[in-house]
Amino acid sequence: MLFSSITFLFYFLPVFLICYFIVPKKFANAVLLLGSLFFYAWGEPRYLLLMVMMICAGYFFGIWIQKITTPGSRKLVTALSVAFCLVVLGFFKYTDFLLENINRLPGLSVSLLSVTLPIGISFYTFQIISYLLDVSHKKVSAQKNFLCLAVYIAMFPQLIAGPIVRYRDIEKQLTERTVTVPEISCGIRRFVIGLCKKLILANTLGEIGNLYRETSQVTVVFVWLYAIAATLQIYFDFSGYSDMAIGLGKIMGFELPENFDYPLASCSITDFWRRWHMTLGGFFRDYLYIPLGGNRVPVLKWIRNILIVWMATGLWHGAAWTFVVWGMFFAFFLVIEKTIKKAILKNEKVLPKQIPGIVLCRHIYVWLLLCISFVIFNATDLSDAFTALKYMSGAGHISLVSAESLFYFRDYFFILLIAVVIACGFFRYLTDFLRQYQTGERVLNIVEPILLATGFLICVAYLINGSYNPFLYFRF
Amino acid sequence: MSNRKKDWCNIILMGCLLVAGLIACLVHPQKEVSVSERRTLHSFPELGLETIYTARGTESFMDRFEPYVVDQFPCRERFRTLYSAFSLYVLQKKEVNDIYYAEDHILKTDSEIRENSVSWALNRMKYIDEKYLQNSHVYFSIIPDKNDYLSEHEQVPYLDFDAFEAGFREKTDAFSEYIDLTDELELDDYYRTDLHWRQEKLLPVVNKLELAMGNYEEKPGKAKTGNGYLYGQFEEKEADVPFYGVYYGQGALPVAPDKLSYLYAGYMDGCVVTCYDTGKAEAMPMYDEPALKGMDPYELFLSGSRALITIENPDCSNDRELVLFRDSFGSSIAPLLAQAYCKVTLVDIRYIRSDVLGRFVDFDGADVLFLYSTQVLNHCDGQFLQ
Repeated sequence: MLFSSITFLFYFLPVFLICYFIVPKKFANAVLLLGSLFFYAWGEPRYLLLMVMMICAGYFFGIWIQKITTPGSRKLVTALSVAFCLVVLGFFKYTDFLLENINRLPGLSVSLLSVTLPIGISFYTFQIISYLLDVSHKKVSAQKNFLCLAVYIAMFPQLIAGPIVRYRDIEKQLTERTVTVPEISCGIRRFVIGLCKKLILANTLGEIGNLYRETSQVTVVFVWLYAIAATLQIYFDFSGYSDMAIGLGKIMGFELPENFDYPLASCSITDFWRRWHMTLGGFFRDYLYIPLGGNRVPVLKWIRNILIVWMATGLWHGAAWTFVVWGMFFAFFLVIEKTIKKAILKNEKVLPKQIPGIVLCRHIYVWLLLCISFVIFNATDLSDAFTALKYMSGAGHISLVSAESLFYFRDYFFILLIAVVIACGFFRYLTDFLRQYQTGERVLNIVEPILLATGFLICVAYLINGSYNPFLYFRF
Repeated sequence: MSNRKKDWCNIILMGCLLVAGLIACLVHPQKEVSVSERRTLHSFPELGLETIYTARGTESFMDRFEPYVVDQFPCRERFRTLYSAFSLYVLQKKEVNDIYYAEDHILKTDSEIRENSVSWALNRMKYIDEKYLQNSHVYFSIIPDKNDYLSEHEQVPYLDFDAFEAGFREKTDAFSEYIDLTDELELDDYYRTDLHWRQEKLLPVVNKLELAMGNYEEKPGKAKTGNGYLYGQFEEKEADVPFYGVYYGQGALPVAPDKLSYLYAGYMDGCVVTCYDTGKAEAMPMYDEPALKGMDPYELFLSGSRALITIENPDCSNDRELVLFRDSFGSSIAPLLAQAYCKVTLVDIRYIRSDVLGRFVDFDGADVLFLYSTQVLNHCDGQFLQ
């Protein structure tokens, strides 16, 4: 079941919320867990048992780890438990990828297992791993209440596509949370904004990708139009989902971590990854990069650490070489940027930060790299990625422009403009500015409910028009 | 408004929308068909253990539930209109769901020549020619799409009709004579809300076809026009129901309907129209007036899509026969062509296999006209039967 579906909006959500708010507080977690299991089973009845098994494994491993007092044994059991989680994830996600690559070796032809990827396995597995590691490092106590742990792992707002919630961020909220009118209102606002981002912006921008794949007249303009649209689509799709997840969490009294902070307004790739999928970045930073030594190691080891983390980041997104290349692409530029930054810090007078030209150039630089990266990300395979990049550079014997590409540029120009303006945070600055004044705040307070209701109805119109509508990150 | 009031407004408004939506979805009566979309709507899927735990690759109850609730959503048409209006007027898109509005017409974008479809059509025509038409006079004509007559082509991508036509002629000129209809039509010869041409505007087309096929016998009461002759006079009758064409439903925006007119002449009273789709000869009217109140009023003309129809005209003074390989455009022109032939046989190879035609149709010495619209020829792969 997806948030952007009639089934969720008009069947599951109203019934769930009525049950959630009607029952006494002590039963709230039970209702949430039952609702979450139903939510998951609706999309994946066959793998519900797998998720329950993983929750049980997380529960028992957590208690076991906590009971062990000797550091050596504790590390061993921790490693065992993490390995168990990674083996399960690896089996479902990477088996066929591995077999496909083995089959590239001459003389080998192993049958693929055609394993179906269970929805959300990457997210809930990582949450279990973060819980076990935090218990092991004594950052949190193991949760003895099975229901609470199950709610943490399986709660439906963040089950399928994040954000990746650390147990320590939510521990208290599992047992003591209050729901207030302002929080519910804020949650509704986040949810509707997320729904609009997903259905109105991301899906419309996704049409450009479909048109690009179907055309027989690829031009340089068309491929760049596709690249910009793909970048914006992925952002709005994923951030829209995160907004919906955070909004639903707020309605139920949970404060889920932010996952995006206007990453397309970044002025460097380093800055971008501090604002894009922040919970995943934080996970790999805290549980992989820092344990490997981070940047407090000799240069070669530091580069090795960056490469490992970014290979893992790429592979986490999908079992294909395009994702590995995508990760390595960012690793390369992160190393370059950090190296340049070190050089600049040694010579502070070289490049003053606030010259407008420099700022503009940096934004253009980031956008250029993002467009290239998301073309790789979106490609079906490396050959497809390479072809698209070739076209973007003007090579490949294609025209600069055609009547068709000009038409689609004009047709989607306004939505691209709106998307860029929203992605760069214009409306946040506008509302922050207006809220400084009493009149501005009053106007916003009158306009907000109307806009939310209108936006919601327009989203319903999109659903009616389009029918089934999966998220881009559905494969994770 | 204070923050507190705003918060309560948000909660109450959204709460009402969700609860009202749930109740409306549960109590709203199910519809079987969508008239605007011309298709059957999904019904409630079968619910059982075997439909919940299905084999891999098989759709489960849950997979079928979403299409069902979307199809049966209350005020579905209003929401489709909202979507179209928002896309066109707020997002400033030129086309929505491949439909666009220009020069008071609703049109469909179809800019790419689909080589698979072209090959398939040519393959079928060549097969029919080789198997049946060695002793026939073979003609071929493509009906241009109304997009071709827009004065502002640069607004939306459009099919290069000249290239499309040339691609066919290159392969068909060997066995057929091509009849170019481009100059006989203009934009307003088509319905505004539909892809079809208007029957009352087809006399120049009929004239061109009959001249090309050698039907220029002089008859009493003829009306002489520019480069040919019309047989007798037609009376234009107007249907008393508005005609909302297929593009109206697809576009979902409220526009004025078309008026549907049809031509009547005295010889039509004597014509015998027979349909053979069920395997038996069944009489049918030339103009199926009850169809005007159905889902598609265009089925007024020869009751819509049929595999095999004959029109026998006892008033015709010659013994010429026409076999018309056609699509839905042929339904409206065939009654007019029937004036010049003692028998017109309409064949739709989307519904009857080409290899069995010889059992039902006598091609010997007949005029054979392949008359297809651009849209059908550009999307016929798999539709034209083997």
